[in-house]
Amino acid sequence: MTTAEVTVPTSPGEAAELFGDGVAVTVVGGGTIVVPLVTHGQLHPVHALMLHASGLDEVVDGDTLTVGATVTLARLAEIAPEPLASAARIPDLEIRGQGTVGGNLHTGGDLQPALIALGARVRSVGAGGERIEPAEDFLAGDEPRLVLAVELERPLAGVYLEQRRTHSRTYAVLSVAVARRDDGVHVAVGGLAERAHAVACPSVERALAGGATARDAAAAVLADVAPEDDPLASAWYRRRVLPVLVARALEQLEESR
Amino acid sequence: MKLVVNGQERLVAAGPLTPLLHVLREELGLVGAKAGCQHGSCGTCTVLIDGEPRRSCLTPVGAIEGASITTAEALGDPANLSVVQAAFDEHYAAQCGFCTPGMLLAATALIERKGGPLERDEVVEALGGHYCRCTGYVKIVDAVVAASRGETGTRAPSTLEIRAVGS
Repeated sequence: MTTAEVTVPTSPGEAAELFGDGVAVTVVGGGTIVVPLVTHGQLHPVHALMLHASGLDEVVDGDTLTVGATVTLARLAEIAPEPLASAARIPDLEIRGQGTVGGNLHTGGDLQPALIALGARVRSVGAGGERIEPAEDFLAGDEPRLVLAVELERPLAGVYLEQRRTHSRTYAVLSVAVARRDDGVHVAVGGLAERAHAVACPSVERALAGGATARDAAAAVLADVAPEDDPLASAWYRRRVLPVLVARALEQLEESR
Repeated sequence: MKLVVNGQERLVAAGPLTPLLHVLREELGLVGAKAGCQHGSCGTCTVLIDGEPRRSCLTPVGAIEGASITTAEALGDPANLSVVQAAFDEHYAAQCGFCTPGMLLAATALIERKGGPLERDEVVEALGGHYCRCTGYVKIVDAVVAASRGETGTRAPSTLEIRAVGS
């Protein structure tokens, strides 16, 4: 049983204030990450910040799509463009209805490659106050931040593909998101190692911009990633499968023209 | 804090981070929702929260103050099975029965949401978060499809047969 001091902010501003610099604060969004850790004695929250009444679930759909941190994956799947909509459609209806965008950014979440490929920005608060930065930069950071929202523009086209263990509730073994935006095709991959965040694939993007075929450009992905062995798959497997997945995603993107 | 559980208002003393599963089983004595993996993977703790299937093991009770909870206890009883329960019985969709409460509630919510008759693919998609380690899934999907067609079955409930054997 936890003895955490629990606070329940009723506005985004109050949530930001209570989060402060985030030190010793456990944020509870949908509960899918934190609650099992508490149940199994792997996490003993000191200050728990519960976001269910924080008003961080707003969606603003205009030239820019702004998605609040506590918007669920189920709702995101309905409102987001590809490749984000498919990434949000994780194969478990109940978890989709409960897991949130903010939580997904704090784990090896399946949304990450899609957000990077779309050029999404993450708005967050923490030490030094509020800031907005590319999803890739946010994911590479290691200080405590409270996600407020993600912002993105709808691409011209997008494709999300993943390699998933059959009937498994884990994160995808490998995932690939590609998006055609005004300035070219963007590629990002996830599932490179346990708890690793997704990364952009500039080598693939450069090859495509230089006129390479989908298959040749996809082969360049191995210059952008450092896959590891973990309980889901070996690094060897990941290096063998990833170029194939990237090539398929790029070919499907071509077909969507 | 208050919850409405199976139509009855209940006062809950547990702290806000306590999983709904533990509140149901340990504080309210409702053991229909099973404590399986307790990290959201197996599905057997699934209950309906305001009509939506959710993992009670992942839901901090403080986040759902005032919500309406439906557990397997509210579906029916041996003499008066719900349509989904009767279809599970008719199609031999339960073996050890540990996953059944979650399956029944997810299926009930699916039929409520989509109406019938359902396609097999829709059932497989909606039950994708529920593990069965005994029967496999064919009979479970058969049962949900049958229930979505309103086929309640004609066989006497097997729970009564089991009770007779044990007496």
